[in-house]
Amino acid sequence: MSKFREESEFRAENTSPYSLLPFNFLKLNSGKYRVVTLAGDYTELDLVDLRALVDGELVAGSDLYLDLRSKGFIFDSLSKNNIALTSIKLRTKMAHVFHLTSLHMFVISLRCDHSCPYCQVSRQNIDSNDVFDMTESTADKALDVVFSSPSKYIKIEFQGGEPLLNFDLLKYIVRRAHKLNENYKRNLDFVIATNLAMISEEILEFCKQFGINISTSLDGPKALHNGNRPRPGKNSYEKTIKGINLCRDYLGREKVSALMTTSPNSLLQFREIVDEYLAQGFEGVFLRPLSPYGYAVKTKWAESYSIEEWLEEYKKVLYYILDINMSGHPFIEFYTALVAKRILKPSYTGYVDLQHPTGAGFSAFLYNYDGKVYSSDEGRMLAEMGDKSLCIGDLKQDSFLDLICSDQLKAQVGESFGYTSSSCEQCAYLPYCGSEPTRHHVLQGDFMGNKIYSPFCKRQMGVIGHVFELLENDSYRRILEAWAYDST
Amino acid sequence: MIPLNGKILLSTLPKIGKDKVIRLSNNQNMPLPLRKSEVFILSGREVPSGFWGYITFNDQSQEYDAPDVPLLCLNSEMSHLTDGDIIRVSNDSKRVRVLYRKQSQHNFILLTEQCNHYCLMCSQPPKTQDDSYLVENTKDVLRLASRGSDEIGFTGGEPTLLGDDFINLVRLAESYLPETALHVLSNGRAFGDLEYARKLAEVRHHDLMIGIPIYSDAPEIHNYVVQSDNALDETVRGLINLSRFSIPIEIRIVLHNVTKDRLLNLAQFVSRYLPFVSQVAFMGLEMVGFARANKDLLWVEPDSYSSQLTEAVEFLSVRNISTSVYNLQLCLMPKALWPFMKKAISDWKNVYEPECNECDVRDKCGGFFSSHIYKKPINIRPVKL
Repeated sequence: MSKFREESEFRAENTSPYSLLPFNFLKLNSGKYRVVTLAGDYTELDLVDLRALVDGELVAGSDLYLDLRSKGFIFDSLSKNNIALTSIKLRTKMAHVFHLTSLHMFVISLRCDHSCPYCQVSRQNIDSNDVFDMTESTADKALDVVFSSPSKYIKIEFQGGEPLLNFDLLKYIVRRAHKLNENYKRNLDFVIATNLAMISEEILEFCKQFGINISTSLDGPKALHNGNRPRPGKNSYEKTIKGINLCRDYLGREKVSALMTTSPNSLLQFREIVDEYLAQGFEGVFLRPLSPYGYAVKTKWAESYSIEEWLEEYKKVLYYILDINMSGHPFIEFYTALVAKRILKPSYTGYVDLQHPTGAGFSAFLYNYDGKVYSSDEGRMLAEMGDKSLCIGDLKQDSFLDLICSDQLKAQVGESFGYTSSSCEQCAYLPYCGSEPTRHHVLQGDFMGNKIYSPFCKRQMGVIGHVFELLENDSYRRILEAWAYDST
Repeated sequence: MIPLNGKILLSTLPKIGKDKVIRLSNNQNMPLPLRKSEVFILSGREVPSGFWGYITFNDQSQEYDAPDVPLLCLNSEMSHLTDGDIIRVSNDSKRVRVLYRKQSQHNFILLTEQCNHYCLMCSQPPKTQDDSYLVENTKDVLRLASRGSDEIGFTGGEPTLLGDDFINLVRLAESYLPETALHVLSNGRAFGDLEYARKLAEVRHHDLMIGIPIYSDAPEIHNYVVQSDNALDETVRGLINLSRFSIPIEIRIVLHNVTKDRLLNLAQFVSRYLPFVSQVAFMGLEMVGFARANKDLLWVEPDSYSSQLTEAVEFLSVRNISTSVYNLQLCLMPKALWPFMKKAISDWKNVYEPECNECDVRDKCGGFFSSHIYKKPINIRPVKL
């Protein structure tokens, strides 16, 4: 047996000093600093250690040194891989950039039976002339674009208005997409965003046959829901609940999901909203703030509460939800779960509305009833309000390539990339965040926006910071880990 | 304990001038044309004709009145040998080695004893002399092994040091055992060469897993344990290349005094950079080979690291990385860890202690390596539920 070499012969101090890999940091209320790598790995340091790290004065071989090197803050001659590992992880987390467009939203009718004051879409009366419905020839052209996207996953979402008002075209599109997919062989999914007032067994039979998912709106308890979502008969809540249960009967529990919108009336009823979602048998709730588009602007609802007020109520109800989980009933707040995923998981998290560069266009196209194509749902809302800057083309003449390379999309992409965005590039939370160029365009006149005045930024800093705080508590951490790793 | 090496008491087998790999049979009714290449296990007085040789245990050979059949007489401790097993008879007719046991779930085939690591706790210390005959032995075993096996393993030494021969053996395993999973123990450094990883992928083995050890997230500790510079960096590069070809990977962590302090950091490292691995295995130390020589450096009471181990295991399992603990005893670990603890010590070297007879969970417990006589944990005690 030959001699073994001593431990000391393998140490880093025998070789060379360390180099820094990119990271940002943020001062916490405690006086410590949260330091986050480009790839989203994080630690907390006091000022002395942060300075030592930056000044190249960490003691080689100390626990702090080993930890920071393991997490990819530094590399030395023993860990040259750290550069490659960081780039692989960064590439994984930004996978949407090379997957390209997977979500395809078809506005098959702008007509609607509801007249919600917060509607972000400029809906048309149910009896309007059918010029507000998409035609078959427009749908054909849209499907050509859909299957020109290289994405392995294709999700076709039917939107409105109320898409079930044009159910014939819906059927036509589903059948044709299936037919085309025999050739293209993508993972093809469908979802109908509907208020369910018009759901029927005939429609559900069709949904069952093609594995179509249902996404509906449920704003909370009856009074709140019906107040937010007026329709003739004042029975939106009853119709929605009946519809949800009918969908479950036909399609199964997991095929039906619901979204809520925070109206001024909702803000102080978060807890009741959570209770409603629990009572209706949902596995979670998505506490969305209002977006400043469409009717939400006309009615000034979008300005009726500040992001600080929203955050306060959000945190309160999140503790309520966490308590429900601790009592043994799993129930998810989906936005928190998304942020927890971003912080905890090394993998890509595909949520179109929170990406940088923007998921609009890269990940999603919206085909309006009239053949105009937008990079996002918000884009067509702005167009209805007279701002055409998010229109990336027209199905009459444009191919997938024309659309993805359009100047309008390039502008959004260029200005929504955090690492080249003046107020994001130094943010510790950038690896977990997105961009919302549309909102900044509306509120500030450019896609990048000055984040100091951005409610989006305030919300993100608030939510991400709060999730970090929760992660320090073992019981909450376990729940957030389960949300991040169990849900899709 | 089932011995895999045995002395030959008497051999009148034909000399072929080199080691011979042969399969055993107890089928008296085997069609004559097949008998030429098999060795028959004598059990009664019946001596069916036409086999290449006959095997018997201890000195029972006296009982047979057939002195002119080619006979191999082994010590009775080898009498576990049975139909379908494969043995190697040394050229000098002195020793047999069991290469494959049909009934066992733990068939690991040694491809080479050469290694580019020199691990402090190596249970199979590397040798430098030419052992290329092992490649030929392995080919024979793969051709002779019964198709029904669930799993076989390739081990070393470092199998990838064989270069293209290793790839070829994986190919033979796929060709001759198309229903059998193949587990390879390798340090993975060779796969840092993308082309080599590609060659392995191109075999398209239907159920291959490469078990690769990482002993620490800190390169100085890993490199010290394996006694080789740049080891961790190269292994990680190999892992990433294997993942590019979607080749399933198991990370193996041997628990001892040098590795025990950074288990959670290591778990975090795996989830951070290697989330594609199929499974992670934490393994108690087997007190053989170099581990015995380095006992003072390596030995630590397993219950002293049980809480760090539990933390690391839970960290990985929450993250949907399938995680197991091997070779440790239930009585030394908290109940939270029990669901992850597997019974997996190879049957031929698996033993229990007298205390274990009193234990309520003996049946669920992995027990000990027979080598634990060199170091028995202090706190072994019967568990009462």
